[in-house]
Amino acid sequence: MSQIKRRTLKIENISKSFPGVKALQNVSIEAYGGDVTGLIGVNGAGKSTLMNILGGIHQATEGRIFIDGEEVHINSPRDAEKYGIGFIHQDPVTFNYMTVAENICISKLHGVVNYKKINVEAQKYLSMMGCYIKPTKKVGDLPIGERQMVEIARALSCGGKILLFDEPTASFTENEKKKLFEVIRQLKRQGAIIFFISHFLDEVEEISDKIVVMRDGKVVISGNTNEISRAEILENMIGGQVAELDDRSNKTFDKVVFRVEGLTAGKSPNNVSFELHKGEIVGLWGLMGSGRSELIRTIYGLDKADSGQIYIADEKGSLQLAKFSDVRNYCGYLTESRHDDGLFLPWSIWENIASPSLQRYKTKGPFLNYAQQREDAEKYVKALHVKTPSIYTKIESLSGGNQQKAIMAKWLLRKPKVFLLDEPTRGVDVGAKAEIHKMIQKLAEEGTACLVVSSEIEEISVLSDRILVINRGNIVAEIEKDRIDKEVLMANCV
Amino acid sequence: MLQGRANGKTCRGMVVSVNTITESAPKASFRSRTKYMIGNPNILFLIAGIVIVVIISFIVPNFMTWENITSLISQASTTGLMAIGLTFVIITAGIDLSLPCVMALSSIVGCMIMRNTQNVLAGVLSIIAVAAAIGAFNGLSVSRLKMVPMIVTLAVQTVAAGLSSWITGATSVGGLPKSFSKIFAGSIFGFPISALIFILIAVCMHLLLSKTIFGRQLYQVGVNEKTAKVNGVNTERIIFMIYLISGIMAGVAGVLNAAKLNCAGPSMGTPDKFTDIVCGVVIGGGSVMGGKGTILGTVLGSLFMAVITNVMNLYGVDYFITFIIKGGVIVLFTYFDILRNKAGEKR
Repeated sequence: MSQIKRRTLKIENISKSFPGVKALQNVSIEAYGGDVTGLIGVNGAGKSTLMNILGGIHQATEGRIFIDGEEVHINSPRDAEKYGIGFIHQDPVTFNYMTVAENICISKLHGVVNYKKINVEAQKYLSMMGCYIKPTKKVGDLPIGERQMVEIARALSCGGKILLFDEPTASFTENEKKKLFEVIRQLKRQGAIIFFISHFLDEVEEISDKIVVMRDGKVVISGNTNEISRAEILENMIGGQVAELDDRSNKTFDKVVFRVEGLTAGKSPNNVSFELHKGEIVGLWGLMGSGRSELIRTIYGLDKADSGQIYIADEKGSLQLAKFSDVRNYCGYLTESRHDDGLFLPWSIWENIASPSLQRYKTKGPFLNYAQQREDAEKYVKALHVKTPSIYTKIESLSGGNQQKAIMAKWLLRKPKVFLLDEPTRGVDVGAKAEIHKMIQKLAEEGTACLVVSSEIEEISVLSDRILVINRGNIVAEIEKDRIDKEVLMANCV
Repeated sequence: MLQGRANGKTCRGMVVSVNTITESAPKASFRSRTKYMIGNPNILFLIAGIVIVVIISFIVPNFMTWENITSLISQASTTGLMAIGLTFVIITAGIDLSLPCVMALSSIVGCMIMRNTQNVLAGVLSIIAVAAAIGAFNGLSVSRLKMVPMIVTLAVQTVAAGLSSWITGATSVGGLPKSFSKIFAGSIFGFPISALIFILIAVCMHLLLSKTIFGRQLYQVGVNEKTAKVNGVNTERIIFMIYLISGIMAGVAGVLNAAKLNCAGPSMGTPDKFTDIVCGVVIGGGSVMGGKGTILGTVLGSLFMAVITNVMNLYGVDYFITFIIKGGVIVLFTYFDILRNKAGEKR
């Protein structure tokens, strides 16, 4: 591709204020066709606002945008479409009861629809991406990764000169991610200007040519990907140092505090046995649908077990057979999706933190001690750096990372022997993620055995002292600390 | 160890951006706490309700007489008791449509026993036992068998109404011992005993709901049943219990009502009586969406409803028009609930 023909997008001194907040301040970015620009920043840094301005959803308060040297005014999503700007959302926004072709050509559906024509057209865009989905399939029947492909194809059908990817991989499996990256590279070769937003640094580093780091509505650092170090990125994202994880490689664990024997519940888990030691962090690794969440739910007693035993160490350290309904009294369980079953959204922070530990606040009479609950909540909110005006703030108004920290607080308060964590850092920004990792280590230091499920290979290999690999409800491998690396993990789970 | 962390001693490794807001938390917390209380929209609505009643008491003739007030309270106590029962149910986003018919059926069965044995205690206990048994049936159906509360209790309502008319031949059961109505419809120092029982039960239920583990867990189930389960709450037991409580409340209401009438019959608890009950709960801040409702609110709401009915009676408003007004009140307060939620979001 010659230099002259390259597309350009120039954002000049864009500012955007919402009532009470300056979301963007004098942001200037230049991007060229055939380049992928990675946009990183913690939640609330202004990445999404910027993308929304390009996508015509918000209008900038100040500043100008140039495409190929000409100033453009993007006042609506329709305008954005006119300039060939396609927006691919975090969660695919598709019409699930319509066909793939209908979804792709949605903006061209007027009057009587010529299905033959739109099917051909849809096929064209899909094959541009090297993607072979039948245009006549219902989108609702596709897995989430393919729905994302449909959305990209829709963006392409609108010109697709400039493509904005807003955290596209958040709910992807490793394979779907690979596929998406291939598509992005394909589009790159065709000369599109691509913006890629993600929480995952390794993803951004892998796919982008340039990196722009934002914080508090400003661009704090930008440059070519190979010229900026990861430490630099992190420092600029957070505006401070990131928590360093302790090196636990020389630790040994000998005291078994938790043993699962032959646990079976329907198809998954299927005859699972393992042990957890005091103070140990054990990773539970497997692909989506491998039965990892089901295993945890069965251990915790939420799903009924058909057979098997669970042993928990008593005060003296000897293992005792526990009833399934009792296991939860010794465990904490950070669930996979906090909005679904982790929080009482309309409640204040202190009510949420105290909610599983009511037994602790029984006074001599039948009544609960509320002052003590608030005091403890205050203590843990401080210790875990939950950013909030006060403990009376409704938990739904906190950011994802702080909600997750509040959930950590609620289980720490219960002082569990065993802590089950299912995707502890999903949808959480880098700063909060590092803090949560640190907390898990600290907790292990204090003697709690932690069982961590994560889809992120990075997270699980950094955090775990030992990894159990699960596939189809079975523990298929056990990997000791010194053998943990990506290849081994990937090789074992499929 | 955890205390050590709270001191900030072991926080060194954490992210350095300790924010300044939490550091000044103790100061801010008192202010935000008072704001939390005063800004609570429920309280504002209660104050508005009290103001309305005060205005009514000045402009309506014969309202502020001792006779009227006591009869008003004892009227409010039967619906009020059932409204208390319904509050428990509505917090879990359930509904108990069977309440008035259960009250009628249990009173009929109990009064038959009382008439035959001439034993007040046996009669009263059997009224409550029958109501509790029906409540337990509702509870099991909803908690264990996962049936939809509205359908189950509607069915039970129909069965109870049918049974009441069938076993009495649509007449009333009389011939009760004199001491029955003397005790439960009498008064101490001019104050009706039924009202005293109502207040006593309301206080107990208020404490149960707001100060005990059971109460907190009940709200947890109402706000998010899944989270409650993860927290270790035995949700099935809680849901069973609330329908049981609701049944028992219907039984107690039945005792007071039968004593007042000195007989029991199917007309005591026709399905339309449910309107008054649900009015009290909704006015008091209960939400059919679950997670909300207080005993204090329900009691005040029931009294408010009784005042409106009473005023309409004093003015001689047509019986059928009262239905229109009550229906309107439910719609109005359901809309208020939405406004309340919006106000809550803005805070």
